[in-house]
Amino acid sequence: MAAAEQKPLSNLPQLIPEAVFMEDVESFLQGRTAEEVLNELRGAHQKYKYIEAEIVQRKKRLSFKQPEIRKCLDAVTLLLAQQEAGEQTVLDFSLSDQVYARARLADVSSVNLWLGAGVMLEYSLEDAKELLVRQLEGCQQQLDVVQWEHLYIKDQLTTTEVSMARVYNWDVQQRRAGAAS
Amino acid sequence: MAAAVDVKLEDQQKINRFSRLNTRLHELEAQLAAKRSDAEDLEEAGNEVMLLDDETAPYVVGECLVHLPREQVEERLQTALDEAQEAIQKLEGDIRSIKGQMAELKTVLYAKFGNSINLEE
Repeated sequence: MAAAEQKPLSNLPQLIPEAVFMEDVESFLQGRTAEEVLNELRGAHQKYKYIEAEIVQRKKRLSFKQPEIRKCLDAVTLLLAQQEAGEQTVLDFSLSDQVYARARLADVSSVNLWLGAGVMLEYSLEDAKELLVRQLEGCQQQLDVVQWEHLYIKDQLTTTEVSMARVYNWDVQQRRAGAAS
Repeated sequence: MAAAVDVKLEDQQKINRFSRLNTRLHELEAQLAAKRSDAEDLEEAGNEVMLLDDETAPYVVGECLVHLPREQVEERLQTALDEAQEAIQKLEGDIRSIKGQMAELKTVLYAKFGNSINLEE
């Protein structure tokens, strides 16, 4: 997978320690009981799960944002094309959810972009387009990073899950051996 | 449950890889379903527009319905449909490749661990 191979722009590996792979269960335990180690692993698993949920949320938000930006870009591109052709645009715009009114647009040379935090700024059509294109790219980059982070955390989760199963199985075997002798 | 075979680092890496592929597979399948329904809608819209007698047809751009000449609407719909179909083909290809890799990993891992491993999808 390409996403897995690309170098991480993410600082997640610095924040989240990698799950340790245990070469050998017995030496990993170092005299501790299986129960203690299992609890530790369960704790780590829970933390990884929590982070995964957060990442999935962020991924959803970004995937939602992307089409929104594209919609804005489509509108600006259309205005640009109409301006170049010197045509007027007739359109129905929504006044409220189900109410539309007709408008004629001619000679539109600028649009107002909502920047968030209660700020709107007027841009020429060209500048608006450029800004939106940049935002779209930025969104895609962020998505790539989040995608990478998701896979990273998935690795840690899987490793921890396998470790838990191994400690558990090891413990069962020990008990069995103890009962047999 | 007789776990006679111990897990080596390379096995762990294979299992991780499988898990990654599985996550990705589910995502891609969701994307594919969404794209397919998009393509269906576009196709339907294209057919409807062809039946129109009007010179212009309202076409959604951003939040507005822009009245565009019919040919232009048809053109735009066709472009959107082509893009959707291209995306569908790419997704299908990716899914095929992921499924292939998963099948390979399954063979190897099941051969080693037998019943003590469960590779869910």
